[in-house]
Amino acid sequence: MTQCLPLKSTAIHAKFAGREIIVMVPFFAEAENEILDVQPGDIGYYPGRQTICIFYGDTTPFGKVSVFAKITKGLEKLHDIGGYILVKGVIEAGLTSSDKGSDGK
Amino acid sequence: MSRLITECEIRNAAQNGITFLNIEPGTIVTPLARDTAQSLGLRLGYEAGKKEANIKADAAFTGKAAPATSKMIGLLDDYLKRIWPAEPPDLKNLRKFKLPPMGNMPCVLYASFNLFWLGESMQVWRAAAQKRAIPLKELSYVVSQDMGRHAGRLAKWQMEETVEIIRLLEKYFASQGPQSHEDCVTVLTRALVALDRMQNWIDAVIPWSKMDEALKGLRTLGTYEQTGDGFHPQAINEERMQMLIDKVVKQIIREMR
Repeated sequence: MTQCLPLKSTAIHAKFAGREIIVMVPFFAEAENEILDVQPGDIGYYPGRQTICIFYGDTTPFGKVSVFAKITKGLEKLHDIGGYILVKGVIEAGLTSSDKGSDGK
Repeated sequence: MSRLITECEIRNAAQNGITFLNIEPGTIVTPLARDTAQSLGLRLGYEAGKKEANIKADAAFTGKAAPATSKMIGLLDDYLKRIWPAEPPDLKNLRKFKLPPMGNMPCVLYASFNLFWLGESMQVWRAAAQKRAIPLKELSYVVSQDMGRHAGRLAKWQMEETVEIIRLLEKYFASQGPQSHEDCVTVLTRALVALDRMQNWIDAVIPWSKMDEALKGLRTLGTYEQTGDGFHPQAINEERMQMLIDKVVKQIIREMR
């Protein structure tokens, strides 16, 4: 994931699963500790479509996701953003890294 | 160009990634050739001044040997680089198709399904290659057949660049291009990312929320009663339902730019 940052992509809203924003990434990664029981705030990678899935409310994922991160603040703001994307269809999205990882990199 | 087009010419053209065959006036096209062209998604027509066939594939691979693994990977990476950042030309072509011959569901929905199921197939083949569950020769054969079918289905949407890359994949696997299961995994992984990106673009232009709202409206127009032998519609205001359907369809078409 970090190797492809910063990344410009597009974000759409889930049509089936619930409160989920989906951003496509240009790589395939094998499933890792994938789960169906996601919680609001979970961020996961979905190998089925090579997408980053941001769960911001009640969601039943389309398929198992490899959850690798958690939103620690600002989750409530995603409700408005999600609603906007749902109506708009697609928006431009960017993924960047702003914090160092646990190894200092 | 011969003055007789048979099924053989059509199949050869399709195998070479051709999606439009320019037929000069006076040329005879056999009924079987027409049927085959339709089933393979190859358009027949005449455009004055246009080259005989609308070939966009790299000339090195048209009618010649299939790409080697490294070249196939390069082609897929180039395709992804082109379509990743902005709406691809193939999507612009697809937008020209509004409604199918019957029904009110927009054509982009069907094109999205076509690519979605290709993605699902590739996941299965990739997993099979990773587990070496199928011998390489047989795996390459079925993957090539699968690619060919999907290319045929997609061709009707004039998504020429996408169909071309799938036809090249078909050719690669048909010619036993992968030298190992690892080659299969590598190529299919790249193909997955590239073609799923195209599907993602198409999905993004489907007016999902409008269709959702329309269905919500339709549900209020009628209810169903459950009896011992199933569900039966109650009285429905059919005139009002038809007006609503027409209004929603027109709005959807308008908003698809």
